[in-house]
Amino acid sequence: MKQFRHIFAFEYRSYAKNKAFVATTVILILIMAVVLCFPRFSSGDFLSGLMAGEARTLAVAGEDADSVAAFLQTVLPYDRVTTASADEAALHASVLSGEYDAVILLESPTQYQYITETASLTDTTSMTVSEALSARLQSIQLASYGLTDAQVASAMNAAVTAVPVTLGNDQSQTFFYTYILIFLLYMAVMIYGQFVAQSVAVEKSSRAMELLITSAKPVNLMFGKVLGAGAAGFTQLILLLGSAFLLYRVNADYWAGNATVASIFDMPLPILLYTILFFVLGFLLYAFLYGALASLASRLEDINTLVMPVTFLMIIAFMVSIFSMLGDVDSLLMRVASFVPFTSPMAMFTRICMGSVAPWEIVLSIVILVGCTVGIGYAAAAIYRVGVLMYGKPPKFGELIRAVKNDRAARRKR
Amino acid sequence: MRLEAKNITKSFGEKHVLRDVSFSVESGRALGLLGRNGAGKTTSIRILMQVFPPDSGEVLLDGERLRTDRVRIGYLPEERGLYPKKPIMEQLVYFGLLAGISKKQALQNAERLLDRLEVTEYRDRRLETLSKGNQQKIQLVATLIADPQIVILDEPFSGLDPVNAQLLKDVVRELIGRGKLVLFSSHQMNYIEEFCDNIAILHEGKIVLSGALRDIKRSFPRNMLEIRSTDFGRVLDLLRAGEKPWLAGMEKQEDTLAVTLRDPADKGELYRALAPCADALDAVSVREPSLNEIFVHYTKGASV
Repeated sequence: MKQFRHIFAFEYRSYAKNKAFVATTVILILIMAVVLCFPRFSSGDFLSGLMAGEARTLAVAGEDADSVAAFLQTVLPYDRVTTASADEAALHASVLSGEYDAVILLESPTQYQYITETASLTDTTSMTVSEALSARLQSIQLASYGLTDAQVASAMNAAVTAVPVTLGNDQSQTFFYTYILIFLLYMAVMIYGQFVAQSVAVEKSSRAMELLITSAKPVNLMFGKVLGAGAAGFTQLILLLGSAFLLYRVNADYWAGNATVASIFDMPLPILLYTILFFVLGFLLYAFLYGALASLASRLEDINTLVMPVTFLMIIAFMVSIFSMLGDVDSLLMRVASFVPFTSPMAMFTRICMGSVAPWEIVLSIVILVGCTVGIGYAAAAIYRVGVLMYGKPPKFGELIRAVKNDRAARRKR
Repeated sequence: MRLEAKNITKSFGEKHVLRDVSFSVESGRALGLLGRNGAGKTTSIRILMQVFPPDSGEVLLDGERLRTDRVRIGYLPEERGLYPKKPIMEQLVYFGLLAGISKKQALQNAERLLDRLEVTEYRDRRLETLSKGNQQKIQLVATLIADPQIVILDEPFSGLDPVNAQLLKDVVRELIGRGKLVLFSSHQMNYIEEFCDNIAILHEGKIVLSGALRDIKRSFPRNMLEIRSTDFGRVLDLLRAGEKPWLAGMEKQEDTLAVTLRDPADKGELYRALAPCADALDAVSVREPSLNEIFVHYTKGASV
């Protein structure tokens, strides 16, 4: 235990003293400070301006272009709407030359051409225009039946509204913070897992391992390393998230009005606690694997190839959760994934945030995950014990299993 | 103290690395573990240090199973190993802590050893900035940081210049003198000859020779003698004159005359034959084989 403490402290300190690690932390905090303080120093409308992008120039051509243009200008206040003559070739040329961002060429009262250079995935202008022109057409037709302006307006404005009654999670509230946390979890495991792999491989390639393995128990080395890197990573995350939270609180008034940002920072306490739990368990599980695999590398260049399978596992877990967030988070796939240890940190967490999970499911998932993490920790130490003394080409999977088995058999005999 | 490896066998998969290996080391009498590359020296050392267990056999300290958690072992690996990018003092203290001594003690020991090996000035430098010889000295400090009772040195002299080698020799002599249990592994025979009372020669995983170096040398046929003289002309004339059935051969070397007898018991005949020129003789002595010759004798042939 004393040995473990020394190893843990040594590993933690080597991160805390690492200039690159400290610099990254500071830079990330600074970036966050700039982003979160931005509304304080910019005009109040900056967010909507940011979302809307630059003002565009639209040209309306064809039948009744003048009055349509005037009408569209009121619908698209951020864009500039002008008129142009209805020469199709000339219009194409001016779109290609960049004079107009888009041209609305009216062909009949019920059809127009929407001409742009590239059809953008996110451009909603044509939809807005279609809606506006449809409404305009409807008003004109209603008026032609002899209705008064007031009757037309009342008919056009008649609408049915829904009052939402949500019994479980409101995904419009939970989506963003879940997305951010899942992404953070993915990044954290990837980055800090690589740290563990790196540190094991450095010790092996510099042969510091020769001394370490003769002065400390492999289990202590493995757990000390993984937990040391984990604690360092956790410190970094706490600093980042803590300062993000403080900066948000300080600037909360300026962010008022923005539901997305508010939903991220007003996440409920139980979610925060689940975040910590799944972060810790998910990190440990993957970091043990990273450490064990890195112990097989004789050169630093070998690590990437060796840890590839674990990285893929991680990416699959991430993909499953992220894609189901856009659909049904309680699908069969997600329900299975939330009990499989390698996917459960993300899948179960997503379901807790966005779906409906029974308490027993959460407990079972956590119990399986904890059991597996401890088991994999010891397995990783067994691989590490054998792996660190293998020099040369990394062993094949079969060879490795045999070597570990032999080692354990010999040890049991003692 | 007496450290004993008894009938150690170890194989990795199909490969038998050690077969029935036994040897022992006593406090104050260093053991030289010799062997060609791949003979099994490092595996033997790792089993002694319990990095992995043997397939059969045991390691005993004073008759009881060696417990590495009770006895401190200092190890200087052949492939030097420390953190190249960390400050020297920091890692020395770390290895001290791992070996089980307090931070204060580790600092004190490190200071003392750095001073003894004349490398105090580098204490806060990163290891990789030091010359090879100085890195080697730091490695020795790491070996001795916890004041171990058992010291295992694997090729400690490789890469040292004569001055540093002398410094290291003095330190090793002190260790032996202080009653430490010292085990050397090397193929630099001159150093082994200088320090080790006992040797064990490993060849292809087996001990082919072990015991006190002096006895081993004596056990070789003592039929070769060296004659030193101020007048080799007279000596040669005397030995060449007449019929001498006991004389198997002679060879004039740089400043000695090597004489081989048919039988070591014929020394008397030689002395009598040389009597007339006794005034010109400086010395007549039995020529013992060097450790180098012994080693080559036992380990020639295919190695693994």
